[in-house]
Amino acid sequence: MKRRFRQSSYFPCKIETLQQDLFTDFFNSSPDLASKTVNVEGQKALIIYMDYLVREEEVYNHITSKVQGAKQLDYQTIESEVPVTDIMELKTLNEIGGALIEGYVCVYIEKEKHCIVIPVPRIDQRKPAKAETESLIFGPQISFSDSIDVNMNFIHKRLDTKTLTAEKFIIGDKIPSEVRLIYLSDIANDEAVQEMRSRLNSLQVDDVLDSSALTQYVEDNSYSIFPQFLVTELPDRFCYSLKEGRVGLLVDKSPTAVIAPVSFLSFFQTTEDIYTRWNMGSFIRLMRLVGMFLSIILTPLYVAALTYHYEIIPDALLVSLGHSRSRVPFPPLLEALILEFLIELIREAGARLPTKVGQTMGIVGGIVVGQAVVQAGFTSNILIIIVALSALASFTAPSYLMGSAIRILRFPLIILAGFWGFIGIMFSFAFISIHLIRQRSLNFPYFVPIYPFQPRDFDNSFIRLPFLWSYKRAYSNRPKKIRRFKKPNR
Amino acid sequence: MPENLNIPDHKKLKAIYLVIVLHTMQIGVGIAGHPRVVFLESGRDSFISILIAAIALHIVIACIVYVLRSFDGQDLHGILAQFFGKWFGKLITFLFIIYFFLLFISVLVNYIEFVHAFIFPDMSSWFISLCLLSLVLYAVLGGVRVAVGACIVFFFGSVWMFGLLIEPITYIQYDNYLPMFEASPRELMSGALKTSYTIIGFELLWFLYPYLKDKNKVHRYSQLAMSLTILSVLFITFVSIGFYSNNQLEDKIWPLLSTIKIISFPMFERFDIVTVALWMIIILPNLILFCWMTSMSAKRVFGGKENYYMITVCSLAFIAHYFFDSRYNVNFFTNYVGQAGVIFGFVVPILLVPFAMYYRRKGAKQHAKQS
Repeated sequence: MKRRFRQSSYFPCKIETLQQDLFTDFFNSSPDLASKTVNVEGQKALIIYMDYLVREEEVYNHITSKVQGAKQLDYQTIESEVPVTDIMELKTLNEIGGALIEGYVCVYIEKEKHCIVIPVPRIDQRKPAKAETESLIFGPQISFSDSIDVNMNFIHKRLDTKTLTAEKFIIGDKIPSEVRLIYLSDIANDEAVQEMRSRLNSLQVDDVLDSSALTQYVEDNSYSIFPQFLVTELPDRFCYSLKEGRVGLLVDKSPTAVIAPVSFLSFFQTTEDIYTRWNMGSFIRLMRLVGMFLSIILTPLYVAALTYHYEIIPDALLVSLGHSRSRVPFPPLLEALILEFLIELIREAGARLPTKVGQTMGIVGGIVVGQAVVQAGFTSNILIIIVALSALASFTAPSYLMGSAIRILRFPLIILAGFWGFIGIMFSFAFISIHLIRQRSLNFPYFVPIYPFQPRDFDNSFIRLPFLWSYKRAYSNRPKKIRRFKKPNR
Repeated sequence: MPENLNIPDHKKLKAIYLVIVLHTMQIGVGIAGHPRVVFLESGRDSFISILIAAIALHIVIACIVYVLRSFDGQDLHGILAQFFGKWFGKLITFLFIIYFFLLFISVLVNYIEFVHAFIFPDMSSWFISLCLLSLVLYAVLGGVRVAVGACIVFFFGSVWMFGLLIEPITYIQYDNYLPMFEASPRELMSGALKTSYTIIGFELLWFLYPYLKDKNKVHRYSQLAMSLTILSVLFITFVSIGFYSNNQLEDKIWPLLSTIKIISFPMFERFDIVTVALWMIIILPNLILFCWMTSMSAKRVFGGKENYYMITVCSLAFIAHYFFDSRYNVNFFTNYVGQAGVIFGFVVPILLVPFAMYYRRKGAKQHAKQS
C-alpha cells in the first residue's frame, strides 16, 4: 500500500489497476465500492464511488449518462456537461480514497495524467428533534441535529449577519472530525477567541467522540467537578450566548454545542427566563439558585443537627423527629447515606430504562420503596422529605452536568457533616467557595459577578431586569460592544 | 535598593476591593470579645474610647497612604529599605514577618478556643487547625487574586449576621447606658488602647498597595473601610452594653456570641452554634491574608519562591498552635500580640512620615535640578 502512495506519478495507469488498487488496498475489499467502466469510441473511462455515500440517482442522471453520452471523452467535456461545482483534479491514490469517503464520485479516463472527482455526497439527517435534556416550556423547542451543516444552517438562520464568523478546525489524527469555532466578530472578545483558537490548534488527540468530550480536552481545570464550558443542545441558547459576546464550538456528528467562557451562574439560566416576562424570569432564576443551595445543604444539616447539635432543633419539631427516629437503628449519617444512595439508584435506573418503564420505575422506587423504607424503620419520615426535596431541587438546574455535579457534591458534604457537624459543613462550604474563586473558564473568571465583584452584571446573572433597563451586555464577558441598544428616553 | 515590584496591569486589583478587604481583615476573632474588654476599662463610656481609637485609626491610615504615595508602587519592605538601607530594612521587615506570623497564630488559636467553648469541647485542636490551614493554603496558593476573592465572597457570606443583632436590640435597657461620662480620661485612653487591639489588620494596606489599579482612590476607600469597621465595632459594643446589665457583661468572655444565644428561628432553636461555625468564614480572610503577607514579605527579604513560604508558614502554625492549650495561655498570648500590634500598626506608620516628607523634598529638589 505504502509503495504505491509514494509513487509521485501514479497516473497514467490502466483503469483495471486503479479499480483493483482502490478496491483491495484502500477500501480493504469493501463491498460498497461501486464502479462502472464506460467505453466510448475505443476510449475507456472508469466511474467509481462508494454507493452509500453518494446520491446514486444523481450519479446516474448527471454523471454516468453524461459520460456515456459524450461524443469524445476528455475532462473538459465532462466538466462542462456535469452540472456540479467544486470538481477537483486529483493525482494520488490517497487523495482519491479520501475524496471517495467524503462522498465524491471519481471519474478516470484511461491514459490521462490525473482523475477528476465530483462531489455528490448523501447526507442522511434526522429531522431536527425536540430538545430532550434542556426542554423549554415556552420558547423554541428545536434542538441541534447531529450534522454540522444543519447546525450551521440553524445558527445562520438565527444570526443573519455578516459578522458571524466560523473558523474550521480538523481535530483528530486518526479519525478527523470537523470543529467549528463560531463567534460574532464585532462583539466577541478577541482574547477569548484567540485562547480558544490556540487551544484547538494545540490539541493532539486521535479522535473526538463528541462535543462534550472535546470540552474535557480543552477546559481549564480537568480535576474540578464543576463544568467549565456550557454544553447545550438548544440553538437559541447558543445564539443568545454568541450575541452576549461568547464563543461557541460546533463539532461534526455531535448534537450538542459548546459555549465558553461561562460563569458559575450561567448554568442556572435558561433562555426561557428571557422569553418570559422579567419578573417571572427573575423569580425562577432566584428559585433555581435557592434550590441549588438547599439541595446541597439540607441533608448535611439534618445529619449534623441530629448527630451533634440537637440543641438547635426546636421543641415542637424534636418530638416528632424523635418519634420517627426512635425506630431507626442507624446513626443519622448512615441513614442519610442509604437514602441518598437509594434516590441516586432510582434516578439512574429511570434514566437507563425506556421511557415507559422508567416512569413505572420512578413510581415504584419513589412511592412504594419510600413508604416501605419508613414503615420498616430504616429511615425517619423527615429524612425522606428532606432527601426528596433536595433531589427535586437538584433537578432544577437547567444544565444536566451542573445538576449532576451538585448531586454528587452532596455525598462528601454529608460525610463531613456526619463526622464533624457544622464545622464540617462550613469547611466544605469554604472549600467550595475558594475552589469556585480559583476556577477559570477560558481564562475568564468563573465566579463572576460575585468575584470579581461586578454589581452591574447582577442583571442577567441573578435576576433579569426589564429590557428597558437591561440595555447592556454582561461586562464579565468583556464584549467589544457593551451596549445592546441605546437606552430609550422614557 | 530593592527591585520595584512590577505587577503587570492585568494582574492588578480594583481599588474598591479595599473597602471590603481591609474591613474583613480588621473584623475577626477580636470583635466577639471586644465589648467586654472595653467595658472593663472604660465602662459605659466605651463608645468614647472607640471614637478615640477611631480618630487614631483614621490618622494612621492617612499616614500610611501618605508614605505609600511618596513611592511609586513599593510595599513596606521596599520603603523600609529605601529609608534605612538594605540590611536594616530587612531586619525591620523581619520583625514585621514575625509579628504577622504571631497574629496568624493568634487568630487560629482563638478560633479553636471558640469551637471548644461552644460546639465541640473535645474536638482535637490539631484537626480544626488542619482544616483551617488546608483551606488557607488552598486559597493562598492561588495567588493574591484568589486571596482577595475569598475575602470578598466570605464577607458577603457573613455580613448578614449583623441582622442577627436586631432581636437583642429589642431587649436593650436604656438604663444600662446611664450615667454617661463617668470614666476618667485615663480609663478612656486605656479603653481606646484595647480597642486598637481589635482593629489591627489594616497593615495589609502596606502590602496590597502595589497590587491596586487606581491608586488615587486608595485613600478614599481605605478610610471608608476604617469607618465601616469602627461603625460595626461601635454598633456591637452599643448593643452589648445595652443588652447586659453591668456586672453581667464583665462575666461574658465573648459577649457577642452570648448575645446571639437568645436568637431562635422556627427551624433553629439555638443560632449561636451556627454562628460559631459561620465564624469560620469571618476569620478565614484574616488567616488567608496574614499568611499571604507573611510569605510575601519573607520572599522579599530572603528571596526564593512564595509558595514554599506559604507552606512553611502553615506548617509552622500547625506546630505552634500546640503550645496554646489553655484559655489562659491564649488570652495572655493574644494580649501581647495586641500590644505589639499597637507598635507595629499604629506607631510605625507615624514614625515613617518624617522620612517620607524628607524623601519627597529630596525628590522634588532632584527633580528641579534635572529640569
